[in-house]
This record gives sequence, structure tokens and C-alpha cells, in this order.
Amino acid sequence: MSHPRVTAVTQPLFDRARPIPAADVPESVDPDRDLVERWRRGETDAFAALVRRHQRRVFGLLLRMLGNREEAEDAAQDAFLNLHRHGHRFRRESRFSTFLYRVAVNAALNRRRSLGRRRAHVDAFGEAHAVGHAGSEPAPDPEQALAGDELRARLGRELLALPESLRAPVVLYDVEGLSYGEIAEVLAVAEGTVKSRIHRARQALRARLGDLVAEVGARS
Amino acid sequence: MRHAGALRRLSEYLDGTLPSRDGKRVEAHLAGCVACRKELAELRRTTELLRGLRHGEDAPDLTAAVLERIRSGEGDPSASDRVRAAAVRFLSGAWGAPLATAAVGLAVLAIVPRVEIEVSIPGGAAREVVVPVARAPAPQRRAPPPAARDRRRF
Repeated sequence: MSHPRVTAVTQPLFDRARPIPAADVPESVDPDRDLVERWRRGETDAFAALVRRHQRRVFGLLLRMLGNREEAEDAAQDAFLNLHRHGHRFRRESRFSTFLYRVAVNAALNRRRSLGRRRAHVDAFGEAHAVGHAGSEPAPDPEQALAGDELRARLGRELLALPESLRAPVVLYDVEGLSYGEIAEVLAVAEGTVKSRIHRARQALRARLGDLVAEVGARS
Repeated sequence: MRHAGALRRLSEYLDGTLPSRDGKRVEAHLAGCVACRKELAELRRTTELLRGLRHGEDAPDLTAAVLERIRSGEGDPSASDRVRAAAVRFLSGAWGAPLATAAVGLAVLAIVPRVEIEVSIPGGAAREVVVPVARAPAPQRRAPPPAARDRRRF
């Protein structure tokens, strides 16, 4: 099976100034706004509530980015500490969750750099999922039933095989459900760049998952 | 729409984010292109598999560990961050921007160098005027020639 060659992405992940939105995000759009305001006034409980509310998604994102539960947990803690350290940089023009994703992606990149760019523990990914998934809640839809531990491990491996510049956009869009615009803000790249990277990431994954997706393709 | 163009837009078509005109052009191409229909179906399947990762992640509770690390001082902002935060708070206040503007203006007036130039008016006396422009470079004292230094030394 021949995989399409994934060409090097010349644009770095964090190379452009953040876009300046026209106005603050209203409270109705950002459900975290009240907690953020209370945290900024010094209420530790509000920060703890923000951690509890977002830790699952932050951990999930970092697990996809790093491929290892321990690394993801450490990086998630780093992300929340960085959030606490640099929280004043958050502007209300964007959603708090978008800002937090940006902090989390940076934490993942920093951790990979600090690990000397050694390859993530691909094998541990599968083991960790086999253990971690056992106690999780029942599958909410048929797709979840399909995505068993083995399949999740396979998807995790194939995601890790992508360059970081392609992995982050496709994880943020297809797994985390962010919009193109939000991803552009998180990664500080143009929206057109996000679209093209998502498409290239999917093409690369499609080729790598050939046996899993080819049957459907052949039927159409 | 050409094959390559349609192929490039399949993900956006799949996500429903193409403008309607472009979407119709892609659809027109898909109607006659088996390869693109196959590609689209496989991309759709790929995204469905990825979306299956959204649920069922057994995440650890990080709250206690994070709060403990913050209590130990790990989450404290650096000195530069504290200064920046204070500046942001100040500037976001009602008087912050006007006061900052005034301070910058005073600082500029204080440090703008002044230079004295002589203006000769034909038929009149020479006058000295002071103009606040860039300072003319001060004449540098030239080092004495090596021979002179040698003479002083011995």
C-alpha cells in the first residue's frame, strides 16, 4: 500500500500575530466568563472549577498530541499552571476555552521539545487505553461502540505518525469539535492554512487507515 | 471544476463549509468522477472514526495536584508577568490611557535632544536659535598621532 507523501509544512504553527476580533465575546457565548472573572478577583475556588470543567478535554487533546497518558497528564498539569501564571493575557475577545486550548497546545509542544523529540510511547498508548477505557461510561452512540480499544489504539498510532503541524488541526477539528476559526486562533495561523492542513491530515490518515476505510470507499 | 480543484475542496465539502456556489461545482464534478466519489467516501469514514475518539476518555482528576502545585508557588506569575498584569490593569482603568499618553509625551519632551544652530540673516545680525531636532554628533577629539603619544610617554 502506498501512502501519500506528507510534505513538510513550511509555515510554523505559531508564526502570526493573533487576529484581533471586533468585540468581546458576550457572556451568553462564553459559559466560562463568570468563573474567569471570579478567578481574576482572586477566588481560588473559581480556578478549581475551571480546572474541573476543562480537564477532560485538555487531557484528551494532550493524549492525542503526545500519545502517552503519563506525558499527557503531566502536560495537562503544566497547561493549567501556565494558565494560572499567564491568565492575565486572556482577552475577552475570544472564548476562554479557545485560550485554554492554545495554552494546552503550547504545553504539548514544550513537553515534546523537553523530551528531546524522542518518539512518544506508541505501545504504551494502546495499553493505557485498554486500561483506561475499561471503567469509562457507556458508549453514547453507535460510533463509540465501533471504536473499541483496538481501533482507538490504531487511530492513536496513526495520529502520532502525522507531523505535529497536521496533527493539531485535525485533532482540534474532528476530535475536539472546534471550528476552523477557533483553530486558526489557537494555532495562530490563517483560516485557509487550517483548512488545507485538515484536508492533508485526513488524506494522510485515510491512506494509513486504508483497510479500515477502503471497504466503504469500494461500495460507493 | 477540474479534478484537482475538486479534490482539494473535498474536506470542506464534507464539512459543509464551502460556499454554495463552490459546493454545487464540486457536486457537479462528483457526479461524473468515480475517483473523487471514492475519495470522498473514504474521507468521510476517516472523520467518522476520528469523531469516535471524542467519547469514553477516562481522564484523571487533576484538580488537587494542580492546586497543590499552585500553593507551592509553581503557578506564580514571573516578575515581568506581574509588571505586565499591573500595566494592563492600570491601562484598562478610566484614567489609565490618558495618564499613560501624558507620561509618554512628557518623557519625549524631556529626552528630545536640542541643538544650537546659527542662522545668518542677510543684512542683519547673526542670531542664535534653538531647535529641538536630532542632536548633531558631538565632535570627537581625535587621538594624537602615535608620534605625539610616544613623546609624552618618554
